[in-house]
Order: sequence, then C-alpha cells, then structure tokens
Amino acid sequence: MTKPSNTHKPSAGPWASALRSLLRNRAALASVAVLAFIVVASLCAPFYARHIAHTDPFVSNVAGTIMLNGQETDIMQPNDNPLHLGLSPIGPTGHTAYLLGADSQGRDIMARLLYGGRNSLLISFSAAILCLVMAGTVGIAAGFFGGVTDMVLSRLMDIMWAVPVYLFAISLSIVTITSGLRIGPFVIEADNLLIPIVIIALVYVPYAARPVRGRVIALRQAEFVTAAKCLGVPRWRIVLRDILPNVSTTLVVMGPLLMAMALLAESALSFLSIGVQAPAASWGTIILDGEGLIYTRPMVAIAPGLAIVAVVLALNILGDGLRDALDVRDASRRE
Amino acid sequence: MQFPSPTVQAAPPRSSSGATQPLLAVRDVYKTYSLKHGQTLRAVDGVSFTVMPGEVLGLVGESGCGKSTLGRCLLRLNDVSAGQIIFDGQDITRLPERILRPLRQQMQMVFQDSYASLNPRRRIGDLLAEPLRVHRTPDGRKHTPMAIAHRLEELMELVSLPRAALERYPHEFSGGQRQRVNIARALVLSPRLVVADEPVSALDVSVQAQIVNLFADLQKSLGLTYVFIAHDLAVVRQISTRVAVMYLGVIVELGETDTVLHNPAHPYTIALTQAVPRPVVGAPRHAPLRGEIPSPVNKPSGCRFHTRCPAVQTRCQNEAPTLTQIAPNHAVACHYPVLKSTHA
Repeated sequence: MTKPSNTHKPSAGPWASALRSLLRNRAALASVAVLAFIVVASLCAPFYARHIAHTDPFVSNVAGTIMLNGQETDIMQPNDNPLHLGLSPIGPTGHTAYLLGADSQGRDIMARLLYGGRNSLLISFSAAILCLVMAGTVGIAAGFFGGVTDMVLSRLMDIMWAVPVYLFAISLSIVTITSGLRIGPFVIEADNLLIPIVIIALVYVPYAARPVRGRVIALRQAEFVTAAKCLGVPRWRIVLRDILPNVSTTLVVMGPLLMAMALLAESALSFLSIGVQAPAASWGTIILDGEGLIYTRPMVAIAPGLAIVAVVLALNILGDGLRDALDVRDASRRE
Repeated sequence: MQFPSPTVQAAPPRSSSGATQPLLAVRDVYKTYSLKHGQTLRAVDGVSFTVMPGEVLGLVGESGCGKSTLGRCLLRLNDVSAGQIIFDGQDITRLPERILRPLRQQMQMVFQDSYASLNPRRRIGDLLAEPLRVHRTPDGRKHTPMAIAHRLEELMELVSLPRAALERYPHEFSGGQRQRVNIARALVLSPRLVVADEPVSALDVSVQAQIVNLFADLQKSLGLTYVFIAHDLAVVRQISTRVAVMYLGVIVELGETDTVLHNPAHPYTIALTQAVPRPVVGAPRHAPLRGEIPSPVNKPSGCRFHTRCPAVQTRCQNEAPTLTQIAPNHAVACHYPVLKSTHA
C-alpha cells in the first residue's frame, strides 16, 4: 500500500493504470496488433480491389481472363483429372490479381476476403456493443431494483437461456430474412446488416446480463452504497455514479469475448445463407462458396476460416489481458 | 485567502428545540428478520433511549448483540419492525425516503470498514463533493463549484489530511487515513448527529487513539452529538458521556460513563469491565465469561443473560427483567443488580 506523498501530482485513475498494465502485457499487445492489421486491411478493401487487384469482387467473372507471366489465362480452368472434365476456378496465383485464386463465380477471393472482413467485423463489433448495452441495462435493473423487476427480467433471461443460442438465432434469422423487420413505421430491409446485428446481440444478452446482475447484487450490499444512501444520494444517481463505474470493468472485459462469440455466430448464420446476403460478402459466405470447392480449391474456404480463427483468438487473448489489467486493487499492489 | 461567501458552510438552521428536548429519541424499537422454517431473528428486541444535543452515547456489546443493526435503524438505513425513532422532535420512523432525504443532511454515519465504505473507483474529492452536489443550500440553491472546493479544503484541514489527498483514490491511503476521509465525508453536510459504527475497531491500536481523539475534538469544536458504537469499553470510556450496554438485542445497563464503568450493576457489564486488561503487574485476573453469546434466533427464556451469568437464580430463568432506574441516570435490566455497597 503506497501512502500519498506530499507531491501534488494527481494519481492515475483506475482506467489509466489498467491501460498501463495492459501495455506491459505482450500477448495482449500482440493480439491488438493482429486485430489492428486485420481491421486496417479490411478497411482498405475498395482500394485493394480497384488499384491492386483490378477486379470487381461482386460481379460474376466466369468467362474472364487474366494475364499471368505474359500469358492470357482463363479464370475458369479445366480440371486436373485425366479426362479434364469440368471446370475449376483458378487457384492461388502468387500475383496481385487473384492472389488467393477465384471462387466458383470467378471472383477474386482476396478482395472478397477483405470486403467480407468489413461486414464480419462490423457486425460482430456492433452486435457486441449493442449486447453490452442491453445486458448492462437488464443486469443493472434486475440486480439493483430486485423484487418484481428482478423476477420478471431473470425469468425472461432464463427462457431465452433455455433455447440453444444458435437455434434461437437461426429461427429469428429465418423469420426476418424473408420479410425484413417492420417496427412501427420503420422497415428494415431483409439484406440490411442491422438484422444480423440485432439478432446476434439479442441472443447473447442472457449470457452477459447474468454476470452483471450478480455483480450488481454484490455491489448493492456494498457499504459505499449504504454510505451514499445515508448521504441522501437519490437511487438513480447511485446507479450511475456508484454502481455503473464498478460494473463497467465487467462489461469491458466481456466486450472482446462477446465480439468473438458474435463473429462466430455471424459466420454461422452467413454460412447458412441467413446472415449477410449475396452478393455482399462476409467470412461466413466465403466459406459457403468454398464448400463446393473444398477438394479442388481448398484455399477458398481455408482463407476466411483462418481469418475467423485469428480474430477470435486475438479477441480472447485481449479479453484475458483486460481482465488482468482491470482489477483496481491488483493494479495498486503491482506499483 | 479570499473566498466568496462560503455558502456551503452554513449549517441547516439549528432547530428551535430547547436544551431539554432530546436530539434523538428511540422508543421501543424492534428489528426482526424472518428466516427460513418460520424462525425469526430478533436483532433489536425492544430498545429505548434518548440522546441529548451535544451528548455522546457509547453503545457497547459483543459482536452480534444488535448494536450495528440498531445504529443503522437510527439513520433509517434499515427500516425498523416496530417502535419509533424521533429525530429532533420529528418522527422519522415511517417517513418516505423522498421526504427523509433533506433530513439526512443532519444525521450521518461513519462506518467500520473504511475501505468498503469508499467507492474504490472515485477520487476522494469526488466522494466528498457528492453530498454537496445532491443537496441544496439552506436557501434552496445549488452549491457552486467554488463553494464545494472551499468546503473540501476546510474538511481536509479539519481531519488533518493534506489537500493533495483530494486527488487520490481510496486504495492509496492507510486505514487510519481512510477513516479520516470517512469522517470528513460524514461532516461535509454539517450534520448534528453522527452515528459512528465501530469506527476504530478495524484499526491498529496506535491509530485507534488518534481517531478517537479526532472524534472527541470534532465533537467539542463542532458541538456534535454522537452515538458511538464499539465493542471495546476502553474506547468508549474516552469519548462517551453516557454508556448503554447491549446484550442480545436489549439494553441491559444505561448510565453515566463513570457510573457504568466504575460501579456497574449488571453482571454482564461487570464481566465486560473486568475483561479490559489492566497495565498493572500482578493485577488480579478475573474469570472470563463462560460460553458463547447465545443465538439471537433461539434466545434464552427469562433473562437473556442467565445462561452465562455468574449470579444466576431460578427467577432469572423464567422472568425477563426490564430496564429499571436504580439511581438517578442509572438504569439496569437485572433482578439482582449489584449495588454500590456490595461491589466496591
């Protein structure tokens, strides 16, 4: 325990000291670097497609050709089998055009991978944030107000919990994919990314809300909450100023883990063609495209698969790092 | 230093009550908890006392005797099951929180656990400013940031902490310093009554004395009224004008500090006074109380203390004694109180 010195330098807040200890965590830093690289690469997708690969990854190109080593090469090529029956898309070329080869419609896999990353990352990030907001609200309300509020919210969560996550997400997706979503005067089209975002956020709410509720129940009994009540602080202000800052660490630690789960869910839905809709791409839809080519052109499915694995792994390591970094008392002990 | 008129400093108007009206009156208060299997835990089991303005009432007893529960009931942090709590002539027992809130400025609490009672994620300055942000000045305006800053500096001086402490987080302080912060927070709103719930029992002995002295100094300079809860008679002796001894949810002896400590009439109080170690070589040792404090769920019949009383008689097992006056300002709940002549 450090005693305050007589200097006037204000001490670092809990967030600042958490950041400092996160910066000392090499695994977490490495995962941040991986994530940053993938995000930046995905953001550069239009630039890559137009100026590097010179291709439009949303248009079928089965009759097209490219120049490879001065030779005009068909994108759809005869199979390698002895009779040369059937056509397969071109494999990895090692050139900027069709770097990872083409899919069965002759589209550039690398360009689609980058465009798919945009959608996959956008959906999983937004879903994680939306889920945290909803779960935070539900968990704090249930935990702090208790009684009937808690009973209604907790039973609702239990019912959602009782349905397997993916089954739940698939059911909701199938319903909305045909007709879109109509909320009062607002209509969300079936191919709008908001639909997978909302569905994925919704199905994970019980998983995030329950730990928040538990934490809030513990905090409600905390002596500093009693002290605030004793000082005449209104309840809503206790929630905002005393409960929320102490729950926010739980929420922040859950963030990356939720995003990882959301990414997997999004890929699963897109793989089942009830997530991101063609011709738009996501890592899940590219795996679906690669499914039929798995024996001849395995790279089509492997590339987005590796991207998903890399992001999920990095997010989990980052989540662990955040959990270690955000324990306030630990931070003080280490200094 | 030139500061604008310190609006914060102005205490709520001292009431019209004369010196004869108690600041706090507790009438036959019960606090029971329902447990499983239809059992009830009677934490506070019919307690009455009054506290006059400027007085310090020491509330002592073993852990689990209900003194902390009672302390929380006094400030309506727990609702009482029955009885009345009258603050400055106003019955606050059933006041809704909304109406009680302005009154809370006049009654504050210092908690035992100096760490748990401070939000670890907020700076000391923020914690101390909070009550000023939620309450208004006596003339109904918001406290200005200037006035708040001024008040916080004043408080730091009052509890002998450096101003820089305002910029720090609770975990950066020692236990004694944190308890000073807690005291400062209890005093932010210039209360009239402070309930101190074992404020020193978690501290080192050397620090205990400093904090008790701080309580005593503040009481004198600010004219505060305390209900000072402790399980240690030595601590209570230093600060209290009167002492109430609690055992299993009831007050067994109540009187002036000197009387209770030097001429205790209840066998339990006698045992407590004898349990205080004396710094004298060869001081006589007394047999400690036998057994544990009985459970407040299954209380003994008759006098609650009869299972451990060294002077128990048959009557004690069947008939519960009531708190009766045996001398001016000295009340005891015992069928066979030890009177001055027999206990020298």
